[in-house]
Amino acid sequence: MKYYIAVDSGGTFSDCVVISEEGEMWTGKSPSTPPHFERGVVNAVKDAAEVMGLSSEELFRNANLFSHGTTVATNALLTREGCPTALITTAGHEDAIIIGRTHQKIAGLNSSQIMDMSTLDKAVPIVPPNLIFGLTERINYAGEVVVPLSEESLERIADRLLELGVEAVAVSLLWSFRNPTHERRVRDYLLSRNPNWFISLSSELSPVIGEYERTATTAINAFLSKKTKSYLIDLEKGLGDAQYAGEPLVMKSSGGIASIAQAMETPVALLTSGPAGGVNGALSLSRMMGHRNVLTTDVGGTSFDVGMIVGGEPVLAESPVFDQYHVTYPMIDVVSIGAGGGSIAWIQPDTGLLKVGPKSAGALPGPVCYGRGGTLPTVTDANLVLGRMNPKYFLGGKHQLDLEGARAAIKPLADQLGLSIEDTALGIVEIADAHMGDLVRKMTIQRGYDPRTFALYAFGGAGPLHVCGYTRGTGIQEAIIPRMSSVFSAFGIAQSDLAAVAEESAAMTLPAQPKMLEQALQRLTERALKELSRSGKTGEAVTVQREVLVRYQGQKHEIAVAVPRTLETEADVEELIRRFEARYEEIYGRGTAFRQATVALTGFRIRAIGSLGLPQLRFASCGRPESVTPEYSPVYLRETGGWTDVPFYRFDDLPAKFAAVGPAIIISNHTTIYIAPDFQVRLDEYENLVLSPIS
Amino acid sequence: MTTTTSRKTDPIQYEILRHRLQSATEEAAVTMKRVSGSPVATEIGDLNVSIMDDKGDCVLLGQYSIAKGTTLSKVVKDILNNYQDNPGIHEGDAFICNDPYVGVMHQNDVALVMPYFRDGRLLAWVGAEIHQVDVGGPTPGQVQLGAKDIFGEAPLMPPMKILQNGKLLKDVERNYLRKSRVPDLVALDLRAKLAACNGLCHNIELIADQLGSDGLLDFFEDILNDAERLIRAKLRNIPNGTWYSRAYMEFEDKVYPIVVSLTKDGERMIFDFTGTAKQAPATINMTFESLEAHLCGSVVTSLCWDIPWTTGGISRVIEIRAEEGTLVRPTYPAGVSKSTTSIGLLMGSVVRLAISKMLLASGIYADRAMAGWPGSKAQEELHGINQYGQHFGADILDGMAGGGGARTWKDGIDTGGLGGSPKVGIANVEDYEQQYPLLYLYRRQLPDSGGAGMFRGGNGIDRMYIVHDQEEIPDVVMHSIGSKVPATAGLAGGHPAATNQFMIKRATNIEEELGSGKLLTDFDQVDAPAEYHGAMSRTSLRRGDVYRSISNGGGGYGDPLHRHPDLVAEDLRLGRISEDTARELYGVVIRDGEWQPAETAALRAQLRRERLARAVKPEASFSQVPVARKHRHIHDLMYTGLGTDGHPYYYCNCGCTLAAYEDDYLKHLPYRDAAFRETGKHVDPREIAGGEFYIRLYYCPDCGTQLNSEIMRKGDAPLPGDRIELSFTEDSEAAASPVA
Repeated sequence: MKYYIAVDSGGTFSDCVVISEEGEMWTGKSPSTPPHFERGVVNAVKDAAEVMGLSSEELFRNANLFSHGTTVATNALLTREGCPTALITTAGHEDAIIIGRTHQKIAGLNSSQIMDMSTLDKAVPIVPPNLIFGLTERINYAGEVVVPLSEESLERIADRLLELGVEAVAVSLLWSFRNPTHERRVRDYLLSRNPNWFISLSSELSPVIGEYERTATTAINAFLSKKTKSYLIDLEKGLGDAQYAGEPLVMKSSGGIASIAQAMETPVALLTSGPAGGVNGALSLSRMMGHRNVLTTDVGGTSFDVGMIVGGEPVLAESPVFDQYHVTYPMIDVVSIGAGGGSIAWIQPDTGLLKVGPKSAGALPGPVCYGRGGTLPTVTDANLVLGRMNPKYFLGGKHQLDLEGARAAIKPLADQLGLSIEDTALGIVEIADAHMGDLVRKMTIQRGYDPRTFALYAFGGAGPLHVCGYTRGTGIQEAIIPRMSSVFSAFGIAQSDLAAVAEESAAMTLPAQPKMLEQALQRLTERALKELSRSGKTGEAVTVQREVLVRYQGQKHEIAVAVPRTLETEADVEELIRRFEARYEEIYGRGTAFRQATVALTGFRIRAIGSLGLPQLRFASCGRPESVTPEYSPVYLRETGGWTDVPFYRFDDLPAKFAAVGPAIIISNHTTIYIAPDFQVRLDEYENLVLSPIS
Repeated sequence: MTTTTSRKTDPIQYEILRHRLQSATEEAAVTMKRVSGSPVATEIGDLNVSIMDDKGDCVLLGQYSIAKGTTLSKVVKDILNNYQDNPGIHEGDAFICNDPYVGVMHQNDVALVMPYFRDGRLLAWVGAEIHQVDVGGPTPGQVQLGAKDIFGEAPLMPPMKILQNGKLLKDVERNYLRKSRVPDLVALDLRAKLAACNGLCHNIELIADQLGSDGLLDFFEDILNDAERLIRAKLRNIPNGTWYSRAYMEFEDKVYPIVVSLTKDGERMIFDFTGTAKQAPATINMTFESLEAHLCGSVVTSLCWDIPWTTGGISRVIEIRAEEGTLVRPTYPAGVSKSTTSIGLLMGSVVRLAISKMLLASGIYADRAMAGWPGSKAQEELHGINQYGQHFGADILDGMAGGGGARTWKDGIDTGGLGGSPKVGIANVEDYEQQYPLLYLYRRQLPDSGGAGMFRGGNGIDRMYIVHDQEEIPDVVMHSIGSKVPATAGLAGGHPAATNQFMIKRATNIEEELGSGKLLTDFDQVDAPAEYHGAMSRTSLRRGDVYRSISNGGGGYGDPLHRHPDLVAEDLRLGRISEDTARELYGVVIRDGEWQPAETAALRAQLRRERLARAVKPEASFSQVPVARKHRHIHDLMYTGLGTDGHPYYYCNCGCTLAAYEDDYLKHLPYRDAAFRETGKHVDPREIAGGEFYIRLYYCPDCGTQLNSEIMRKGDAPLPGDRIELSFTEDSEAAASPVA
């Protein structure tokens, strides 16, 4: 038997999913082991092997593929533990990355942080000002050379770089995406001076207009290079020692996997490796279930993350922000707010209002009930007080939960509000649910999508506890809790094919010559296919998705319009414009389209996917009993105005085709699912729990 | 003392819905940025949205340009007052308005407001506003140079129905667009505002579905009351007192002082503009309606760091006094076309400075006090034919990247932006070059442009560009204030920031130089005589002309000689200040990157001695009375306290008694009237202020510490020193200690 293994290594746990060539699936989990994350990775596989009744050596020896999601790049960025990095840019524009268009000071911050103006600051620099060098050269908007590159100036910079002992160099020159010759010359020359420098060119990494974002992306890439490389080397060695003979593959933020060599060149592509895995898992599941539009929701200890699949494709982010830097590299869009199980509840002085977050108790000290030193009441504590989390079942009953501690922490709030402890706890959970619901609403209605056409997938430790709360009132008709929800990112990584995304800026107006557009798309397709082939595994079948980015002249925000067929005639281009306008009016309302303003085409995007022939999952529901008798336990409900005995089911005890109406609670090894009184639940043939509002 | 009524909405539901409303304003602003085709909105975010109650009071504001949100209330109130019967206010209506005497800041800010009805009953209003690149008038863009009154500026449009039954009225829209030089941009912006308002109404509808009509009104009233409750509570923590601030605005050949005193009395704040100049004929006035809206915005951004930006509630504790016929309360038909970036910025700056002084005195909020954020910005508007042969109108807003004001515990943010507009940003050079016939030779932070101080103001921006791929840009309107007199002041003895500067070198050989491989990134390297432009100037640029502009930084906080030498050495190492500045302003001797302790101490002592030696001594001096009990800090370096003789005095941190409490302490301090240039390399470098303006630096008579700095016009009386009501309590010792 051959196996496909995937491990998602996060801050606290490494999750493993193993799928056999026949489509059977096993999971494993092990604590992460910073700074030697590779050990935790191997341990997670061992844990899975144990469940399978194999030795880990056996499992590794029979592995067809090992795919991996990692937070190493993200951590290195957040802690500024990259390598000494220099930046070379067009002389006169050295400060672009420091000025950060001035809004760097608020980039990625929430509204309450922004209101507190005296605490704002620019990003902690990844390249200190004295390692930024201005090169004598200049290219204009049309890609024409205005000032030829000065070899002398380049030589002087290289001398300084050698003196200063930098390890990586980011090169980002003005208009390099229109004419990359100067950047390429810089690389050739620098490598001739020191072949060990890691060199990152903006024209290759992120050939899009906007020097600040392009420069930040390139600088971050160079900054993360050595750390990512050394980790991936350690990982490869660790896996080799564990008897894995192949080359591991790595999950990219854009939603596909790539070879280790590629990952080493573009560490910036790994920044949302894990969350992208989650969206990819949803993609895989959605194909089985026939959902075209999906919202993925992940509730962790400190954040609520929402991703999107529209028309069967993951939605890419416009300009994601990492620690106040804008990054323009294709990434799956995962929008995050600071609301999770660890969010702290408090009373605002002077108004006496109950507030939840944005402060979080995080993993340490964590909620009061975890008994790790937390003293401030959190959302998790409130869930416990309400009886939605039951200490008897929590993580298979392996961890004790301190109910009295949780109640005591909520009591001062209750006293100030003049409410009972239970009603206060209910308020805390409802406020947290509403904050999450607002994000769900923002991602659908306010982006012009009809929520009734979306299925919502809930995963992550606490998602299933809150899913009714944040789905209620959004118009979403179906919420799915996948069987593997606690290791969903790893599942997504295991289900990932090879992918390459290639993007290019353009400056044209529509209608344009169909031939010209077609040529540009084909040129970019070649680039994507080339990147795909470099992963060493050509894949069995390659599919190419083509998109153009369109907006009205002067606007900043583009709408991606798919170009499935070859553009041959003017009518084809006209059809493209019509599709843009239709989508535009969907988003901004009827009558907002305004063709007099000139339709501009600003970019091309190609996504090439190389199928790895991954096995189809089999969902054997054999072993399900005929019927189930729940235990009853009291849960505090708004609907009944008090404590009500609510049925508790163990997931493994549910019969096939199980269905029930709320209130009910279903417990699995890793998560608790709360079904509110206005929801019903059923178990489907893929072993998912499907929740829907009772109309 | 007013007491606010208790909350009607269930507190949990209240919190849930308030969050949703906040999220709706953010989303509406983002929608506008996306639909708009003008870089003013898409790149810079010079726009805002507001949700208002049935009476037009602002319930929630977006976080973009604050005054663009607060002015919307004024527009709604005008409509409610005038249009109930004719033309009537109905479901599906929307109104546009650009009349500053109704409420917007200037004609280029075109507001769109929309009523929200439920079951035929008017329950709420929503509104959106974007700065328009051009709405007509003799001069392209906003600044109507040479206007004698408002009739020489862009045409006025009091509220006008533009949407009926949810449909744009074609006749009205055509009339509106016809006046503009860039009608397509204006049309797209109109749609952007409509999209934002529709989104806001939709969100209000969802909330009304939950609460019902009466419930919605109660909910809005609760939000207003909560904001009021919070601001009152904050004011209770601040001692009563009066704080003063003044700035000078130059325009054409005149200079106009803007004076404000802030009196905090119990739970009220009174802003009194007495002493502010008489109105100008046009351009730089601000109507009283916009003053109210704008001032409330300044209060919100400097006092409401933890209070929702509900200006309808906040304004209940604010009283404004301004005389008719002055810059801040002009009589129609005085013009106001540049009110935003002239008096608007400057008024915000003086108001925030007065509030900062108040925060310093509070002790507990001293960490929120900041020296001046930019009181002006250097800006230019270009109109002509671009490299593609199309007409273009460009508002080059790089000058918004001014420096942040110094904090009491940290330097200001380099190129931190503008004080009243946290979310605005500047466009990429590539975005400008893509759309306009320009080539930027550099755009960078200017060393030494932030005001010196114990904590330094953030550095501002400096840029140089040429006309590229086009022969000429026929219309170049440079406009600013603070070219002669610094518009961005220091706090607590800190120095002002750089002045705004425009300069051009004509018919240079720059293109040949570039072609031959010489990339000029320094204005001084360009071989031609410089032509300097004043605060407002209209010209043209041709191929070969080199344009440079400097925009001011942030003000400094505290005596520069109190700055830690480590910080000075670090600034020098990273090129944020020059060697001269390190030595002359900070008194730090640095060799090979290391500051020299003995030499620095000696130099600083010498500089302090020189200060006193050159200072004018006060007429009255009095005997020293040791302090028995500290009362409150005026700022980090001085405080009020009770002397051992039982009488209260002002003290310097060195222990020196400065003045008796009942006296104006400034009258007892030695001072020197210095040229601006002495306070910073880029503060009026060409000394155009001449003898007309100067900066008065006040010192402790004993240790020579710089305790105050004031920008002054010759012949004007100095502002009085801050007054803080004495209230010795048990914990006054603790309250007096400055926040670390």
